[in-house]
Amino acid sequence: MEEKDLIVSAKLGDQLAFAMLFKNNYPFLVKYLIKITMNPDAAEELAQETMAKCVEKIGLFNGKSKFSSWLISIATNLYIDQKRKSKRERNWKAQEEVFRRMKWHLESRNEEWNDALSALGKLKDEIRIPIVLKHYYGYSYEEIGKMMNISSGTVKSRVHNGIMSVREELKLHGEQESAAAGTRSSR
Amino acid sequence: MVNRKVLQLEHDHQDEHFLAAVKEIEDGLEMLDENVPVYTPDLQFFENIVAEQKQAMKRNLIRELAIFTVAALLIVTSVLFMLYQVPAVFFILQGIVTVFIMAYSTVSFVKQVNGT
Repeated sequence: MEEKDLIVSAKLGDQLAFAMLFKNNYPFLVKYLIKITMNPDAAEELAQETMAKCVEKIGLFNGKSKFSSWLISIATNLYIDQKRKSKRERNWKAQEEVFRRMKWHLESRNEEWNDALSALGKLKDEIRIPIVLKHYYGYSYEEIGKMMNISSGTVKSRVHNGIMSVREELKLHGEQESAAAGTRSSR
Repeated sequence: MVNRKVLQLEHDHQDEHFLAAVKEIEDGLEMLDENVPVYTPDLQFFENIVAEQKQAMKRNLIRELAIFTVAALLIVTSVLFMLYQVPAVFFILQGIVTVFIMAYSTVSFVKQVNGT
């Protein structure tokens, strides 16, 4: 059964069609959420909430975009709303803990931690999310604007400023390393 | 002309750094994608989510309908009670509500006109 047929059946209330749609898109959704939350547990939890919301809103899906794009737009708004409600604007300690775990996880798989990820994680959600959507998933500024309910101009400036911050952070890190190396060699 | 060339070179250099940052971000995200395993549950799990959500929506609808019905019955009962038992209060209330709606509409309209 093709995705379009599954969507039609789901709109008519077919539970199995819904389940198949979710199963097919689950890895994509969770991987996207891992990138914006940097936390696999939170990503899985959020994915389940997104699917529940999707059941409620399926009548509003017009089929113009792909189902996966619609899912991540719901997930993005859900995540931003939850962050706003919890009022934990920048809980650095918790964020640090999340990064530490992620870093440990990657290093245990013999993968080197990428400093750009740390820099990306320090950005506000409103800036990090458009960067991920633009430069990893390849959505246009207009599409991201529609997903996040902001203008495409705002998306463009957020992406640009965000990348400039990451660039600065990477450069700073490089300077610190070379300074440290200089200190070591002078000893 | 020379200045323009210098500016162009600086701009190219800036672009290079910018693109390098983008590349670093892309590489980092790709590494996350490849190295954080995602376990997809079986179809039954997703069916349960759908069934539970539909149940919750049904419960919500019933609750909201009940609240609406009770509120509507209370309003109709009090209006009918006033009309038959204390008609004077009923007509005074009717007058107050009419005046309030007219005043509110006028103020909103004036604000809208002045605002544009």
